[in-house]
Amino acid sequence: MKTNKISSFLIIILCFWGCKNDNKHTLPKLGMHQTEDRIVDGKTVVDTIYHAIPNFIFTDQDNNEITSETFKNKIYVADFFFTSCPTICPKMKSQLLRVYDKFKDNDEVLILSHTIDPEHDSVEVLHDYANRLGVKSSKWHFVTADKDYIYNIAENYLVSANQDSTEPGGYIHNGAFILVDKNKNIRGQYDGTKEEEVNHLMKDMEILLNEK
Amino acid sequence: MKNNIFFVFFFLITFGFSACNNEDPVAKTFQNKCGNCHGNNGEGLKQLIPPIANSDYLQKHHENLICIIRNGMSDTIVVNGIMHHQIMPDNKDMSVIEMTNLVNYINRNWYPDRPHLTTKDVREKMDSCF
Repeated sequence: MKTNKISSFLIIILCFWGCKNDNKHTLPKLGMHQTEDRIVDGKTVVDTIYHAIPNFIFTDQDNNEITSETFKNKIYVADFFFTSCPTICPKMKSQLLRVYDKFKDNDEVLILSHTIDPEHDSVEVLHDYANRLGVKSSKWHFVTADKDYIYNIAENYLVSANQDSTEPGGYIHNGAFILVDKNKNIRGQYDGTKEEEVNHLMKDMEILLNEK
Repeated sequence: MKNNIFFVFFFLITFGFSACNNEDPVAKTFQNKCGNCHGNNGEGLKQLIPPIANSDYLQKHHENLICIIRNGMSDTIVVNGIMHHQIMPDNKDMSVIEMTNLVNYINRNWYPDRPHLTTKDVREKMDSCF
Protein backbone atom coordinates (compact mmCIF):
# COMPACT_ATOMS: atom_id res chain seq x y z
CA MET A 1 0.00 0.00 0.00
CA LYS A 2 2.76 2.38 0.96
CA THR A 3 4.70 1.58 -2.20
CA ASN A 4 1.54 2.31 -4.16
CA LYS A 5 1.28 5.77 -2.63
CA ILE A 6 4.93 6.47 -3.31
CA SER A 7 4.69 5.34 -6.90
CA SER A 8 1.57 7.47 -7.51
CA PHE A 9 3.41 10.40 -6.04
CA LEU A 10 6.38 9.75 -8.32
CA ILE A 11 4.13 9.45 -11.36
CA ILE A 12 2.50 12.80 -10.56
CA ILE A 13 5.90 14.43 -10.13
CA LEU A 14 7.05 12.92 -13.43
CA CYS A 15 3.96 14.27 -15.18
CA PHE A 16 4.61 17.78 -13.93
CA TRP A 17 8.25 17.50 -14.87
CA GLY A 18 7.21 16.37 -18.33
CA CYS A 19 4.89 19.37 -18.70
CA LYS A 20 7.52 21.76 -17.46
CA ASN A 21 9.99 20.47 -19.99
CA ASP A 22 7.42 20.82 -22.71
CA ASN A 23 6.99 24.51 -21.98
CA LYS A 24 10.70 25.06 -22.29
CA HIS A 25 10.81 23.18 -25.57
CA THR A 26 13.75 24.31 -27.63
CA LEU A 27 14.87 23.13 -31.04
CA PRO A 28 18.08 21.13 -31.45
CA LYS A 29 21.03 22.37 -33.47
CA LEU A 30 21.74 19.87 -36.23
CA GLY A 31 25.05 18.89 -37.78
CA MET A 32 28.52 18.27 -36.42
CA HIS A 33 29.51 20.07 -33.21
CA GLN A 34 33.01 21.18 -32.38
CA THR A 35 34.39 22.25 -29.04
CA GLU A 36 36.94 24.94 -28.46
CA ASP A 37 38.79 25.67 -25.23
CA ARG A 38 38.97 29.23 -24.09
CA ILE A 39 40.76 30.67 -21.04
CA VAL A 40 38.61 33.02 -18.95
CA ASP A 41 40.11 34.41 -15.72
CA GLY A 42 42.69 31.64 -15.67
CA LYS A 43 40.05 28.91 -16.04
CA THR A 44 39.44 26.82 -19.13
CA VAL A 45 35.95 27.21 -20.56
CA VAL A 46 34.73 24.84 -23.27
CA ASP A 47 32.72 26.50 -26.04
CA THR A 48 30.58 24.43 -28.38
CA ILE A 49 30.67 25.55 -31.98
CA TYR A 50 27.61 24.41 -33.90
CA HIS A 51 27.46 23.67 -37.59
CA ALA A 52 26.44 26.80 -39.48
CA ILE A 53 25.67 27.61 -43.12
CA PRO A 54 28.78 29.28 -44.58
CA ASN A 55 28.55 32.64 -46.38
CA PHE A 56 26.97 32.36 -49.80
CA ILE A 57 26.18 34.37 -52.87
CA PHE A 58 23.42 33.62 -55.39
CA THR A 59 21.34 35.34 -58.07
CA ASP A 60 17.57 35.38 -57.56
CA GLN A 61 14.55 35.52 -59.89
CA ASP A 62 14.82 39.32 -60.19
CA ASN A 63 18.52 39.10 -61.08
CA ASN A 64 19.38 40.47 -57.61
CA GLU A 65 22.40 39.33 -55.69
CA ILE A 66 21.33 37.29 -52.66
CA THR A 67 23.92 36.73 -49.94
CA SER A 68 24.13 35.64 -46.31
CA GLU A 69 23.59 39.33 -45.46
CA THR A 70 20.09 39.13 -46.99
CA PHE A 71 19.24 36.68 -44.20
CA LYS A 72 20.75 38.72 -41.37
CA ASN A 73 18.42 38.73 -38.33
CA LYS A 74 15.98 36.47 -40.19
CA ILE A 75 15.01 32.87 -39.82
CA TYR A 76 14.48 31.07 -43.09
CA VAL A 77 13.29 27.87 -44.73
CA ALA A 78 15.53 26.46 -47.48
CA ASP A 79 14.86 23.79 -50.07
CA PHE A 80 16.34 22.33 -53.26
CA PHE A 81 14.24 21.77 -56.38
CA PHE A 82 14.12 22.25 -60.15
CA THR A 83 11.35 23.81 -62.20
CA SER A 84 10.93 20.89 -64.62
CA CYS A 85 10.78 18.33 -61.79
CA PRO A 86 8.01 15.85 -62.56
CA THR A 87 7.87 14.10 -59.20
CA ILE A 88 7.86 15.71 -55.78
CA CYS A 89 8.56 19.39 -56.49
CA PRO A 90 5.01 20.58 -57.18
CA LYS A 91 3.93 18.95 -53.94
CA MET A 92 6.83 20.61 -52.10
CA LYS A 93 5.92 23.96 -53.62
CA SER A 94 2.25 23.66 -52.66
CA GLN A 95 3.35 22.87 -49.09
CA LEU A 96 5.89 25.71 -49.06
CA LEU A 97 3.11 28.03 -50.23
CA ARG A 98 1.33 27.24 -46.95
CA VAL A 99 4.43 28.41 -45.06
CA TYR A 100 4.60 31.51 -47.28
CA ASP A 101 0.93 32.35 -46.69
CA LYS A 102 1.29 31.98 -42.94
CA PHE A 103 4.44 34.11 -42.59
CA LYS A 104 4.21 36.49 -45.54
CA ASP A 105 3.67 39.52 -43.30
CA ASN A 106 6.39 38.58 -40.83
CA ASP A 107 9.57 40.55 -41.56
CA GLU A 108 11.71 38.05 -39.67
CA VAL A 109 10.95 35.15 -42.02
CA LEU A 110 12.27 34.40 -45.52
CA ILE A 111 12.18 31.44 -47.90
CA LEU A 112 15.12 30.32 -50.06
CA SER A 113 14.59 27.83 -52.91
CA HIS A 114 17.75 26.68 -54.72
CA THR A 115 17.52 25.21 -58.19
CA ILE A 116 19.66 22.13 -58.70
CA ASP A 117 19.30 22.43 -62.49
CA PRO A 118 20.96 25.81 -63.21
CA GLU A 119 21.49 24.94 -66.88
CA HIS A 120 17.75 24.93 -67.51
CA ASP A 121 16.58 27.15 -64.65
CA SER A 122 17.88 30.54 -65.79
CA VAL A 123 16.88 33.75 -64.02
CA GLU A 124 14.05 34.15 -66.56
CA VAL A 125 12.74 30.64 -65.92
CA LEU A 126 12.86 31.17 -62.15
CA HIS A 127 11.14 34.54 -62.58
CA ASP A 128 8.30 32.94 -64.54
CA TYR A 129 8.01 30.11 -61.99
CA ALA A 130 7.81 32.49 -59.00
CA ASN A 131 5.32 34.70 -60.84
CA ARG A 132 3.10 31.74 -61.57
CA LEU A 133 3.13 30.81 -57.90
CA GLY A 134 2.13 34.41 -57.19
CA VAL A 135 4.77 35.07 -54.52
CA LYS A 136 6.69 38.24 -53.65
CA SER A 137 10.38 38.08 -54.55
CA SER A 138 11.33 40.04 -51.41
CA LYS A 139 9.96 37.18 -49.27
CA TRP A 140 10.69 34.07 -51.34
CA HIS A 141 13.98 33.96 -53.24
CA PHE A 142 14.39 31.43 -56.06
CA VAL A 143 18.13 31.31 -56.63
CA THR A 144 20.74 29.95 -58.99
CA ALA A 145 24.54 29.75 -59.21
CA ASP A 146 27.13 27.37 -60.67
CA LYS A 147 26.08 23.76 -60.35
CA ASP A 148 29.02 22.69 -58.18
CA TYR A 149 28.49 25.67 -55.92
CA ILE A 150 24.84 24.70 -55.36
CA TYR A 151 25.63 21.03 -54.75
CA ASN A 152 28.29 22.05 -52.28
CA ILE A 153 25.95 24.33 -50.33
CA ALA A 154 23.33 21.52 -50.31
CA GLU A 155 25.79 19.44 -48.31
CA ASN A 156 26.00 22.27 -45.80
CA TYR A 157 22.23 22.05 -45.42
CA LEU A 158 22.75 18.32 -44.76
CA VAL A 159 20.82 17.27 -47.87
CA SER A 160 21.94 15.52 -51.00
CA ALA A 161 21.42 16.85 -54.51
CA ASN A 162 22.93 15.21 -57.54
CA GLN A 163 22.51 14.53 -61.19
CA ASP A 164 21.23 11.03 -61.87
CA SER A 165 20.06 10.00 -65.33
CA THR A 166 18.07 7.06 -63.93
CA GLU A 167 15.76 9.35 -61.92
CA PRO A 168 12.65 10.92 -63.45
CA GLY A 169 13.67 14.39 -64.58
CA GLY A 170 17.37 13.54 -64.38
CA TYR A 171 18.09 14.65 -60.81
CA ILE A 172 18.03 12.99 -57.44
CA HIS A 173 17.21 15.09 -54.43
CA ASN A 174 15.23 14.73 -51.27
CA GLY A 175 12.17 16.80 -50.52
CA ALA A 176 13.53 18.30 -47.32
CA PHE A 177 12.68 21.72 -45.94
CA ILE A 178 15.50 23.01 -43.76
CA LEU A 179 14.85 25.50 -40.96
CA VAL A 180 17.74 27.89 -40.31
CA ASP A 181 17.99 30.34 -37.40
CA LYS A 182 19.41 33.87 -37.16
CA ASN A 183 22.89 32.47 -36.46
CA LYS A 184 22.70 30.26 -39.58
CA ASN A 185 22.47 27.12 -37.42
CA ILE A 186 20.20 24.36 -38.74
CA ARG A 187 17.30 23.84 -36.33
CA GLY A 188 15.16 21.29 -38.13
CA GLN A 189 14.59 19.19 -41.24
CA TYR A 190 11.11 18.26 -42.47
CA ASP A 191 9.71 16.18 -45.31
CA GLY A 192 8.30 18.85 -47.61
CA THR A 193 5.94 16.43 -49.32
CA LYS A 194 3.97 15.66 -46.13
CA GLU A 195 1.33 18.04 -44.81
CA GLU A 196 1.74 16.97 -41.16
CA GLU A 197 5.54 17.48 -41.29
CA VAL A 198 4.99 20.96 -42.68
CA ASN A 199 2.53 21.67 -39.82
CA HIS A 200 5.37 20.67 -37.50
CA LEU A 201 7.76 23.00 -39.33
CA MET A 202 5.36 25.94 -38.90
CA LYS A 203 5.08 25.23 -35.16
CA ASP A 204 8.86 25.06 -34.88
CA MET A 205 9.14 28.39 -36.71
CA GLU A 206 6.95 29.99 -34.02
CA ILE A 207 9.23 28.53 -31.33
CA LEU A 208 12.29 29.84 -33.13
CA LEU A 209 10.78 33.31 -33.53
CA ASN A 210 10.18 33.45 -29.77
CA GLU A 211 13.76 32.41 -29.01
CA LYS A 212 15.84 35.15 -27.44
CA MET B 1 -35.48 0.76 -24.43
CA LYS B 2 -32.02 -0.32 -23.39
CA ASN B 3 -31.90 -2.60 -26.42
CA ASN B 4 -32.77 0.27 -28.72
CA ILE B 5 -29.90 2.38 -27.46
CA PHE B 6 -27.61 -0.59 -27.91
CA PHE B 7 -28.70 -0.94 -31.54
CA VAL B 8 -28.24 2.74 -32.23
CA PHE B 9 -24.71 2.51 -30.87
CA PHE B 10 -24.01 -0.64 -32.79
CA PHE B 11 -25.25 0.97 -35.98
CA LEU B 12 -23.22 4.14 -35.47
CA ILE B 13 -20.02 2.23 -34.74
CA THR B 14 -20.40 -0.11 -37.72
CA PHE B 15 -21.28 2.78 -39.96
CA GLY B 16 -18.30 4.77 -38.64
CA PHE B 17 -15.88 1.94 -39.35
CA SER B 18 -17.24 1.20 -42.78
CA ALA B 19 -16.95 4.90 -43.65
CA CYS B 20 -13.25 4.77 -42.72
CA ASN B 21 -12.57 1.65 -44.75
CA ASN B 22 -14.47 2.84 -47.75
CA GLU B 23 -11.62 4.82 -49.27
CA ASP B 24 -11.72 4.46 -53.01
CA PRO B 25 -8.52 2.72 -54.23
CA VAL B 26 -8.79 4.66 -57.50
CA ALA B 27 -8.65 7.89 -55.47
CA LYS B 28 -5.24 6.66 -54.27
CA THR B 29 -4.13 6.04 -57.86
CA PHE B 30 -5.31 9.53 -58.77
CA GLN B 31 -3.34 11.03 -55.90
CA ASN B 32 -0.18 9.13 -56.83
CA LYS B 33 -0.31 9.61 -60.58
CA CYS B 34 -1.96 13.03 -60.90
CA GLY B 35 -2.33 14.61 -57.45
CA ASN B 36 1.37 15.31 -56.84
CA CYS B 37 1.23 18.06 -59.45
CA HIS B 38 -2.45 18.75 -60.10
CA GLY B 39 -3.47 18.54 -56.42
CA ASN B 40 -5.47 15.79 -54.72
CA ASN B 41 -8.70 17.51 -55.72
CA GLY B 42 -7.52 18.20 -59.27
CA GLU B 43 -7.44 21.92 -58.49
CA GLY B 44 -4.02 22.61 -60.09
CA LEU B 45 -1.22 24.67 -58.52
CA LYS B 46 -1.80 28.42 -58.84
CA GLN B 47 -0.82 29.47 -62.37
CA LEU B 48 1.98 26.90 -62.55
CA ILE B 49 0.04 23.69 -63.14
CA PRO B 50 -3.40 23.63 -64.77
CA PRO B 51 -6.42 22.10 -63.03
CA ILE B 52 -7.98 18.80 -64.06
CA ALA B 53 -11.22 19.76 -62.33
CA ASN B 54 -13.51 22.07 -64.29
CA SER B 55 -10.98 22.75 -67.03
CA ASP B 56 -12.36 24.32 -70.20
CA TYR B 57 -9.43 22.76 -72.05
CA LEU B 58 -10.41 19.21 -71.01
CA GLN B 59 -14.07 19.95 -71.65
CA LYS B 60 -13.13 20.88 -75.21
CA HIS B 61 -10.44 18.23 -75.81
CA HIS B 62 -11.94 15.46 -73.75
CA GLU B 63 -11.33 12.85 -76.43
CA ASN B 64 -7.57 13.46 -75.95
CA LEU B 65 -7.60 12.84 -72.19
CA ILE B 66 -6.35 9.23 -72.42
CA CYS B 67 -3.54 10.13 -74.83
CA ILE B 68 -2.53 13.12 -72.68
CA ILE B 69 -2.23 10.88 -69.61
CA ARG B 70 -0.38 8.21 -71.60
CA ASN B 71 2.07 10.43 -73.52
CA GLY B 72 2.34 13.44 -71.27
CA MET B 73 2.43 16.92 -72.76
CA SER B 74 4.97 19.50 -73.82
CA ASP B 75 2.71 21.88 -75.77
CA THR B 76 1.78 25.32 -74.59
CA ILE B 77 -1.94 25.28 -73.80
CA VAL B 78 -4.48 27.76 -72.43
CA VAL B 79 -6.62 26.50 -69.57
CA ASN B 80 -9.38 28.68 -68.13
CA GLY B 81 -7.70 31.74 -69.65
CA ILE B 82 -4.18 31.02 -68.36
CA MET B 83 -1.31 29.95 -70.61
CA HIS B 84 0.60 26.89 -69.38
CA HIS B 85 3.88 25.47 -70.65
CA GLN B 86 5.03 23.16 -67.85
CA ILE B 87 6.05 19.74 -69.19
CA MET B 88 3.84 16.84 -68.10
CA PRO B 89 5.61 13.46 -67.88
CA ASP B 90 4.24 10.40 -69.67
CA ASN B 91 2.61 7.38 -68.02
CA LYS B 92 3.47 4.73 -70.58
CA ASP B 93 3.68 2.04 -67.90
CA MET B 94 0.00 2.46 -66.94
CA SER B 95 -2.13 -0.63 -67.65
CA VAL B 96 -5.45 -0.56 -69.48
CA ILE B 97 -7.33 -1.33 -66.27
CA GLU B 98 -5.54 1.40 -64.34
CA MET B 99 -6.19 3.89 -67.14
CA THR B 100 -9.88 2.90 -67.34
CA ASN B 101 -10.37 3.35 -63.61
CA LEU B 102 -8.50 6.63 -63.62
CA VAL B 103 -10.39 8.19 -66.52
CA ASN B 104 -13.74 7.04 -65.11
CA TYR B 105 -12.72 8.56 -61.77
CA ILE B 106 -11.90 11.89 -63.42
CA ASN B 107 -15.17 11.84 -65.38
CA ARG B 108 -17.26 10.83 -62.38
CA ASN B 109 -15.83 13.69 -60.33
CA TRP B 110 -15.56 16.55 -62.80
CA TYR B 111 -17.10 15.59 -66.14
CA PRO B 112 -20.28 13.74 -65.11
CA ASP B 113 -21.87 14.17 -68.53
CA ARG B 114 -19.21 11.90 -70.06
CA PRO B 115 -20.14 8.23 -70.46
CA HIS B 116 -18.59 5.46 -68.38
CA LEU B 117 -15.76 3.80 -70.35
CA THR B 118 -15.07 0.08 -70.59
CA THR B 119 -11.58 -1.42 -70.80
CA LYS B 120 -12.31 -2.14 -74.47
CA ASP B 121 -12.97 1.55 -75.20
CA VAL B 122 -9.83 2.53 -73.36
CA ARG B 123 -7.60 -0.09 -75.00
CA GLU B 124 -8.69 1.09 -78.46
CA LYS B 125 -8.00 4.68 -77.53
CA MET B 126 -4.59 3.84 -76.00
CA ASP B 127 -3.60 1.94 -79.14
CA SER B 128 -4.45 4.98 -81.24
CA CYS B 129 -2.17 7.33 -79.25
CA PHE B 130 1.19 8.15 -80.75
